[in-house]
Amino acid sequence: MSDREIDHQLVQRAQRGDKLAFELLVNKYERKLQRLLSRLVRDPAEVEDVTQEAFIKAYRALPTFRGESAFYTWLYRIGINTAKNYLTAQGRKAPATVDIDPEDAEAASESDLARDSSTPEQEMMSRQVAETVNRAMDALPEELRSAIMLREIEGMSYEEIAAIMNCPIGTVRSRIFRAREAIADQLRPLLGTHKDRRW
Amino acid sequence: MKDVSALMDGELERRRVGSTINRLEGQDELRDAWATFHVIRDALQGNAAGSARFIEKFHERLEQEPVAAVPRWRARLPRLRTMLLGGAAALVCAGLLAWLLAGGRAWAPVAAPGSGPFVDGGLNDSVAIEYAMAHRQLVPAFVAGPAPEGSAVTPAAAVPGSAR
Repeated sequence: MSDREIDHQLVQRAQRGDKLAFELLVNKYERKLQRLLSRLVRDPAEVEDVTQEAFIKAYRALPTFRGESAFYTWLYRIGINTAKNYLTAQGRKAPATVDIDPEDAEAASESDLARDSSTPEQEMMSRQVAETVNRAMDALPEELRSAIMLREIEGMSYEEIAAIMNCPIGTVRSRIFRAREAIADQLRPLLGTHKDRRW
Repeated sequence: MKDVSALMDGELERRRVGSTINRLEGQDELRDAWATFHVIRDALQGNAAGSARFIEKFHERLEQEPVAAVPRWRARLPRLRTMLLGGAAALVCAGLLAWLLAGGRAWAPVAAPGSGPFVDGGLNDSVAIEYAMAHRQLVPAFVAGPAPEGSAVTPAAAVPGSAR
């Protein structure tokens, strides 16, 4: 089942009144949406509020979502409209140079990221997360590191990774999971999460 | 948790997706894994980590929201559509099967009334002829064209054992 189909399953559950399913989608897209909106709303203190508002608007609009487009495309459109309305209400205009296509936003380059605004606290958090993830990646056995890099950075399917690494798909699945678990163990103290925590 | 990892990659078997999402919703440990694995993904793809409190704040706001559910009839539309299509497909298959079992020629053209001698219209087995003869008065030309004048054959007489 594809990523898009899984989003639709979660959306359908949320449409039946399952709020937890919607929170799983928020978990998945919060950082991507924040990055997108930070290109419109330059004030870092406001980006998070606008992103929260966009998710709430998306939740309220769920009954109108029919699954004709991908959920993230629909969500990003709501996000952009929310940001533009916010700026208008403040008597400000969206930066003229920023014309964001939701599809393009997915492929924004790292140089775009460098220009993203964030509060000093968020910047520090991002740096610490990046450093922790990089350190944990370096400490991984070669086969785990390769598997997760091919998946997360190259965006390959398990089948493609299995062909490259010359191993069964089940092994790929296991390696990627073990890599994630090893990195997550290093990350949890920083994120303030642990396996028994209610989030 | 391995299933959660495969789920977020879109690599979980279809039949296990529903049960895995159910478990995700029911177990804090799995939801933590889902959240943390996505932080890792975003970090590797260069997305900033954002505020650690984002989801907690959102959770508080969402709690205040009324449930945004679609009407039941609309939620069932896709399933109804599937059922209707399935039913129509089954009917077509049954019809096709019946036609094949009947010799596959039942729909072949038959002679129009008064258009001359009977041309084989596919009713060449004894049961079908018997049936047609019994209903000859309704469709006189269906089997053998117009009955010859003065013909003694009546529907009742044509069907052995049907005379009373």
